[in-house]
Amino acid sequence: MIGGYLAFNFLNSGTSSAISAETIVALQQLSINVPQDIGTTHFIPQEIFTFENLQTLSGFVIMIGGGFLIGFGTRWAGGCTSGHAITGLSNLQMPSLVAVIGFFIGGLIMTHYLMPIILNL
Amino acid sequence: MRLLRFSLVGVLFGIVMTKSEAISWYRIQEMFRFDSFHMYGIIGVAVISGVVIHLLFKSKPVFGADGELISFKDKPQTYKASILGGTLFGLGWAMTGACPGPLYVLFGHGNLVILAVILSAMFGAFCYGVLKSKLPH
Repeated sequence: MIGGYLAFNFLNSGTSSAISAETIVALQQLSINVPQDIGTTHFIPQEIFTFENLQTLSGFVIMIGGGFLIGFGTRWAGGCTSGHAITGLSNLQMPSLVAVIGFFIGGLIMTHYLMPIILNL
Repeated sequence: MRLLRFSLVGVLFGIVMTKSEAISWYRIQEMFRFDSFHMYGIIGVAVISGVVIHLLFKSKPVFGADGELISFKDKPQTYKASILGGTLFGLGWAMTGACPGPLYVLFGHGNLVILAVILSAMFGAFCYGVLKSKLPH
């Protein structure tokens, strides 16, 4: 939290490399606008992550449902991105490779099939 | 002293995650759409650095803050848990665009609503603890 605060408030150059054009178009079709310069924003879309949206079905599913899956999945798989994808893979752990494959199965299904449905709830 | 050391590593983590934009919801969308090298570059460099650091730690004994030898335990061979838990995690990762560490960084940026996601993730971890004996591992 402190690192995030310092980086955002004191180490912010206001520039960043651009998000790819393909992603920008795909997100526009889901009514989410990608800011010109994500380095100067809060890195999360204001179309979704607000207190008001916690009271809408799609906002609730994304924030509360998504949070629940992260917590449950991390404990079940025995690690998260840093524990499995980075530390586990770099220590050549087979269970970590399997977990990373799982991360991508879930992530690809969500991004390509479920998110368009959830955002239209 | 120990707390200070741990805190400094945490602060560095928050800064690196912010400056690399690995905490960006948009970057995670881009990653799962295979539209950019950005996230793969970050993770790839982290894994390569990790391999080198693991080898250095194994090549000669390194001691921690309390003078204990730092060693690495192998991950338990629970492949069902890895694939099933991993898939649930991936579903959540693509929705929130953040994994557990970055949630705290985003909260530190001043995104107060992220606290709801953090609390929900803690509740998810709690539910795993309750259901643990009934789940395949």
